[in-house]
Amino acid sequence: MTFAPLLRSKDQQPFRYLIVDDSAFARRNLARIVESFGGKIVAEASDGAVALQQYTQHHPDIVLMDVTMPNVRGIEAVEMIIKKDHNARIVMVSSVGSQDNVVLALQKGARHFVQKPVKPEVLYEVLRYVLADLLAKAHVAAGAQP
Amino acid sequence: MKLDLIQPFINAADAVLSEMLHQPVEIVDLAMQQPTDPEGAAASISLDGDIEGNVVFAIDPKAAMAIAGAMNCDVTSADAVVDVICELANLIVGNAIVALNDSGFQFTVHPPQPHATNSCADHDSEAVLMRFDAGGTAVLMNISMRYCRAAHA
Repeated sequence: MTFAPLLRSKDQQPFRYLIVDDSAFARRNLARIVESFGGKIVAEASDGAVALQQYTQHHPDIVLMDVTMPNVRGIEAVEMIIKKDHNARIVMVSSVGSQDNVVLALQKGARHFVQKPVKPEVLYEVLRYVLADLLAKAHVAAGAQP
Repeated sequence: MKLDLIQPFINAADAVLSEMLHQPVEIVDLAMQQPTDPEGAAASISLDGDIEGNVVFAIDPKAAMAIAGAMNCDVTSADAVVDVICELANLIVGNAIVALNDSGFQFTVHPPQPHATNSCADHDSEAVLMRFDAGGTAVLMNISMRYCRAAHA
């Protein structure tokens, strides 16, 4: 499956991503998927505390955030990032997609929740939804091509 | 240990392994026994809350590399193999927990850790040992859990 690149409307540049997951393998896998959408990985973090530092330093367009991590967990990290930047766009990406986690993450300011294992076509549609107002118009109508 | 605790893990392992290995998965062995340490690289995940215990997950390192390779991720070092195994354990346990949460159980899942040899030796609880076969790939899952609802009511 190929995906029409998701580009920013303001400058037609790739969206900039921060990927947060304690597993290097999971980060690499997510990075590979995001790059297939035309995205650019500007930073990675292995826990919530590092995620906050990286967010402050890089101001990514979007954060993909795991839930279960050592030290500062994903939902706490969402709260910390949203305190710093109310407009932060954070999508939770976790295998623990229980109703409580989803509701709590959304209450703390996350925009969406994607269950692992990540299906690229599902993540793509979620990103198109979450980034809709920033997407270059030509790419709003386009979607995944079988 | 009751089947309603085990079944979500069987279902999750089936779904996740089938998807990751692109192979149908079959349970080739299931037994109740004292928790034992698996051979080779393994990961464990602990839970506490209404249900407490841990899940140990082991897979042949070559199979872990094959899974990583199928996702275009080069895995060469032993640490990277363990990381893949930890993430697979995370996926299976996470998906099982969604089903248990939907049944009304509340608990905390701790991040996966590389499983230390002999760490099962002190457990006095009974465990379910499951061996899966996915197209020749052997996967072992050792589940040791019990209800603790009264303690958390």
